[in-house]
Amino acid sequence: MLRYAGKRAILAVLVALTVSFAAFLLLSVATDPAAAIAGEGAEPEVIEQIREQLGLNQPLLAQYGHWLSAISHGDLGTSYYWRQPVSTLILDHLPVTLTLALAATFVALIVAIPLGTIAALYPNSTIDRFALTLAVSAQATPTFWLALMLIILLGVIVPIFPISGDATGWNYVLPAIVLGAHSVPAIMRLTRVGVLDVMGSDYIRTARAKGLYGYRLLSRQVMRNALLPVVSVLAVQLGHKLGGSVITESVFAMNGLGRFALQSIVGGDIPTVQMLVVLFALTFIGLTLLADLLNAWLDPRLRLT
Amino acid sequence: MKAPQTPLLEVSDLSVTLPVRESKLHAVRGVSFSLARGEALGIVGESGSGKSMTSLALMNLLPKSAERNASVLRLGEHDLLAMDQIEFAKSVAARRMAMIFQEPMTSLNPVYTIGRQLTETMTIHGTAGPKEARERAIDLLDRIGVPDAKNRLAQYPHELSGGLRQRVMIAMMLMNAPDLLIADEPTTALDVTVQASILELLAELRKELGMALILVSHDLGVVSQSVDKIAVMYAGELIETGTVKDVLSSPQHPYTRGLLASIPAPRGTGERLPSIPGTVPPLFALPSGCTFADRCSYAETKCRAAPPPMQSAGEGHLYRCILPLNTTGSSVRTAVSAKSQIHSHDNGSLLSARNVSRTFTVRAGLLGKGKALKAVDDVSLDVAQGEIVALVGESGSGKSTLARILLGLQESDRGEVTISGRPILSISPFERAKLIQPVFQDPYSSLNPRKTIGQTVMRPLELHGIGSAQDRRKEAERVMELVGLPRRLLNNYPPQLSGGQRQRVAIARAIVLQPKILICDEPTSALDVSVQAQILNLLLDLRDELGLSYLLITHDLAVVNCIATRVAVMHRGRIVESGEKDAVLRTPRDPYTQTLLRSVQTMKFSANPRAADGAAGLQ
Repeated sequence: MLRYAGKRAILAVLVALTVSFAAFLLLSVATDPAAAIAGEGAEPEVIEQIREQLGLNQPLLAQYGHWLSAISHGDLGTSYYWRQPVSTLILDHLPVTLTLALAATFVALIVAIPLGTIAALYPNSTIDRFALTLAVSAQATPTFWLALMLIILLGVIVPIFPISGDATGWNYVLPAIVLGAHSVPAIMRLTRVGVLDVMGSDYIRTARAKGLYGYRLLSRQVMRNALLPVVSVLAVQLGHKLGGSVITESVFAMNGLGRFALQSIVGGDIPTVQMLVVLFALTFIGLTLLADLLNAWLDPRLRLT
Repeated sequence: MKAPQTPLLEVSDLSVTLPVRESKLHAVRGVSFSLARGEALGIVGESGSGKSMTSLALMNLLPKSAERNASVLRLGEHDLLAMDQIEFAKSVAARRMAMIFQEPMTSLNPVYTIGRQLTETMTIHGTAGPKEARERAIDLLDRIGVPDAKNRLAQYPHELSGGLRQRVMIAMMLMNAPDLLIADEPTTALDVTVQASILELLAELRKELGMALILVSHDLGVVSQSVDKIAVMYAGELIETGTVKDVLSSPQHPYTRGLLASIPAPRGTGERLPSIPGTVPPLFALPSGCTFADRCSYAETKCRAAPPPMQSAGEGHLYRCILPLNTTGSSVRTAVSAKSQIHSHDNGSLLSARNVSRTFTVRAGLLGKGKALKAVDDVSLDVAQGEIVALVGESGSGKSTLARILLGLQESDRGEVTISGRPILSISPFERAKLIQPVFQDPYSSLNPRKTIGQTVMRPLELHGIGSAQDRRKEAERVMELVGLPRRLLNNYPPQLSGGQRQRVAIARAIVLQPKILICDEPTSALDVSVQAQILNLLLDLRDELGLSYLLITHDLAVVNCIATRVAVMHRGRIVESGEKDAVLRTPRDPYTQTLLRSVQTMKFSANPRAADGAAGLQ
């Protein structure tokens, strides 16, 4: 297990370095930071001076090294647009997105896994068809439309939940449902297929011959096997949510990373965008690593590879 | 037998029906038997006979859609018919009656440790606490011959071999010391040497624990060794039952006789095996007469008029046939060819391998160090014109790798393979296809299900651009006739054919280019005994008619005995012994060959039915 974890971690670091290098190139090659800092119509000498000051005349790899070491010391650069350190800006917006992503994933899981399991236990039953219908509709519903409908229903007609901002926990309920609904179909269908598959397996027949049935059969023998494929998908889904949901955050006027990223892009704020790209990529890499380790913990056969 | 003693298991009029699309499949019909405490019953039958359905019905493990009916179904004091699933699971499953299955590779949960799966059998029933259960598990594993039992508990199923997994499975089901153990083909998926030890173990445990046993198998050899009573099933019915001695030495039902005759004899003679034509029919409608009538050579009109009732041939020996068979002789159509059985193999070697080796590098993970695995190690082998050379070995012995090298599908590291004196690698694939062809084990997966039989058989001709479409059709018809299939099947698809028919198609496809040699990789091991005999006869016929040679790869020594001329025994990549069949099988010199021969389950009471029937039955 340790060897497996070590190997996976090394791979993750390699991928992270590759991605960060690509993000670095985004700034250094696609634009001329010196010109941007000097402002429009600056003398070439001035630009050259700035370039020298910032070390931009050094070889690309050396610059990358400096950049990496700066990041590792917590210096993520300064935003042109907001005129603040990027690190401060990210830390300001992160909690909202993090809370929303976790809440949405929670919503998705408590709906998708029980529904998928029941659908698998009674295939082609009414509940199975209901689950399928729900999955198809959830997949086909545009996020913004669902958000607006929920605002109208539960915010305006029956005003239970706040519809805008991120001040209290209640503010997160509707956005979490909207964002979570998006993940329900994939997780539910995977759970259904997983449970159906496992229920038909030889080892479940063995377990039944041993006298296991009902809930105990599910919890003791079925679920761990059935949920293996769900873990990987969950990592990807959570990654998407942590990358910030532009639409959901915009509709509910929440000050998360998604809306922040959109504003930075519109404002042409390259250093911020660059750091966001790195952050999102690292989030994905980290979650994938976590999913791999979780899967290996769940399934001993994976530890061999 | 003491009559007043109540039997442990009482089954009367058991039937199982399965809905298949619009109609109903009558998988088991009117099955009745009883079992005393400590008694062992063998249920024998081919695929589709309903033997597995019967055992699953006892264990409440039938598919959800299946319907089970019986007039009596009783285990000790438990009336199984009156119990619902939950009651059964709580008080009978694994406590009074337990079951082990065919597939040790997939019957254990891959994500939990052996220890957890073993102790669970007790903890879920509350028959022991976790600590006691653990101790019992270690004791049982020890007893069952699992080395280093204590440390095994922390292992996962994938870390154990097939034989060990089956032992763990047995231990798991014996945790609560049940009164009855049902073993459904417990050794079919295992190598012969392992098979023997598992059967011995079951017999010992039975005596030791006073446990009754139901052994379900397609293999009469396996069953006859380890049980007291035999029940033969055919097309969902029990057609003959009695003590092992009665059933094997004086079989009454024509099917039982045919089945016994189809088994390759312990001392093969190279002659045709008697075989039962056709296969077990699936029953969608309740039969109006005897279900075996269509395959029985004695069937008369009265056989088709009404289902035959059980007849008695002495105490406890019952059979379902209305014809007094004792005088009629064999039911079996024996097709002993009149052609000469003698084949000269003096005209040099057709296929020859010299010092062939192949090593694989097994890498442990992405960054792991490679380890050398010698799959084939310095192997030399010859097959002459008209010869049938059997290559025998257990799984992992390197047989299949050698076959791929001989077919020219894989290169060897060292050594050379020649066909008619030419190095195989110098022959173009197109030309090679006209010299050597494979026939694979599994006729269910080796034919393309989306191509008609005709397309499959004609495809090689098409690829080689031989003849016009009409010529090819004619050629396909000719080959179909050679392999004993009706022409009309050319327009059918593989799923519409039975296993035996599909294997015939695979052979037809292989011989359509008129190759000189066929490499048959376990050509009959996926087939039922009676069908196996048909295919082996076909191979012999084709040798006589076309002068074909075979390299027959198999693990079944009985098959070897029956048709091979020479034998090579392979073990861990090396040929440990080779020579004329009789020499190798009667006076084996290599210790491994000796073990292999000892492991074969020969028939107890080996009344050779062919001899018993007398000459009258043979045409």
